[in-house]
Amino acid sequence: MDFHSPEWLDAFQQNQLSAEERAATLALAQKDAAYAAELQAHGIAIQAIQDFSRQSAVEKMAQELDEEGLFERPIEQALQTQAAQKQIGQIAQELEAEGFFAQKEEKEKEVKVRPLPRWRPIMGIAASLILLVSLGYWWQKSQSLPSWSQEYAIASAESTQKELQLLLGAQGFGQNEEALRQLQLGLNAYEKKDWTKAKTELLAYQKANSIFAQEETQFYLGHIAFEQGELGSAKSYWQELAQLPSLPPHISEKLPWYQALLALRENQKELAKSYLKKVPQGPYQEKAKELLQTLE
Amino acid sequence: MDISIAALRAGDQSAYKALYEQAYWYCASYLLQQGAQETDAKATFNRALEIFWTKMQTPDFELSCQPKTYLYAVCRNLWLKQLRKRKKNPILQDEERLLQEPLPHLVQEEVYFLEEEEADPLLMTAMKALSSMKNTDCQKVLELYYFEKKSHREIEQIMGFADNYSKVKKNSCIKQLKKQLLRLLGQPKA
Repeated sequence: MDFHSPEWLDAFQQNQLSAEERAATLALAQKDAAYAAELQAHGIAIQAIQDFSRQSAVEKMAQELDEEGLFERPIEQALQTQAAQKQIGQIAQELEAEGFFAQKEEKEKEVKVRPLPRWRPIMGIAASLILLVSLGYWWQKSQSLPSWSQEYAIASAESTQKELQLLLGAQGFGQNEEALRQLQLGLNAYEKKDWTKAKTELLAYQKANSIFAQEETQFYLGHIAFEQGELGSAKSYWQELAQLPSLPPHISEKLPWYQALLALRENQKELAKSYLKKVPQGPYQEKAKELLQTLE
Repeated sequence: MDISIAALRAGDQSAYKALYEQAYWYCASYLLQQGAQETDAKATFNRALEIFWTKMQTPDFELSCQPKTYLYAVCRNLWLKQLRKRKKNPILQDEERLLQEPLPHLVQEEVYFLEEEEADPLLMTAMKALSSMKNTDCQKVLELYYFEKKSHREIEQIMGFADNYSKVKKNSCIKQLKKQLLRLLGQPKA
């Protein structure tokens, strides 16, 4: 047994020694201060290597994800997309006024390569395309749209006319700014307990299929239904929400509390108790415990 | 994408990268709402992920919630801690309000975890020494052996070393690192 060998010290730090070997190592450390220091230094060195490596790995991941566009702000991207959409629309109108599409159809019949149209709109389209393609990745994920940016990437090797058609055919942008406004209006109305208006706006927001705050919207719609006495509807909103694999903590901490209140309104005491038991640690847990005691 | 807890426990880097991608905006949106700048949000999230990763490697650690929720709680804690540090300087009214919010149990636990770590000068010394070794063969070998748990044979292949050299190199590098720690501990030899 070489108590000083790096292998022995590694095995000690990684709990790979037998109980006897471990005891012998600790006994030596107790007798010999220099050995105790060596043992401690070895442990700290390993911990530092692991911490440092984790730190480097996380930094590397952040860098890679940065290159993949993770840190670009989704809301700003959405608004940029909206702006890009407007720009594309404007360019399309301009081209239409110039008879661009009519010319294209004619040329298709003739099966001839027509010269490119005027430079200015084409440059505008190119600039817009670059902006749109850079937003494409996030947009596909958030809106579950057809993968038009990929189609664009394939089509980019082909004619400018085809690119334009593709862009004009792409649906789904332009909704988001409006959706965000609806969310804001809905939340303002909710805070003021204007349930009817809150419901209208939040339903419109939910239908717009934005990725932002969907769990919150679902919860608020349930709460609005609850306040309006539409208990079946409230139940269905909250049950759907409870089935999601994960929820933001500020929702998960209050959802079972509200589900319990709903069950009590429907005189389902046992069900209410089961919900109260599920209230996690947080601002509602104490209240839940008290109510549970009262019910029992 | 479902991220397997087993993969996180095993330290699978691709699982952590997937978690990063999944949880970043979830946590960052909270931090940005609470007055953090984007650089603060990124640094806070990175730190939270490191803490989570470390915790997951601890055998008796039990994850009682979704990884994303855990990261959210740690980010919140780290940001509040940051605000507390800044309290010595004039702070905004909004921050005052935040500081009055009670910390959930999970977050409290993480505060202690961090304070302990920061208070250890030996660990800090070792981290500093490693930082000065960054991108050297020594740092890479130590990382491959102690972090990625590669065998000496695998390290020799990755690093292009001759047979049986990895062990010699690893021992010499850790000795070099320990030397600095032993100096602090008042011991003459490594």
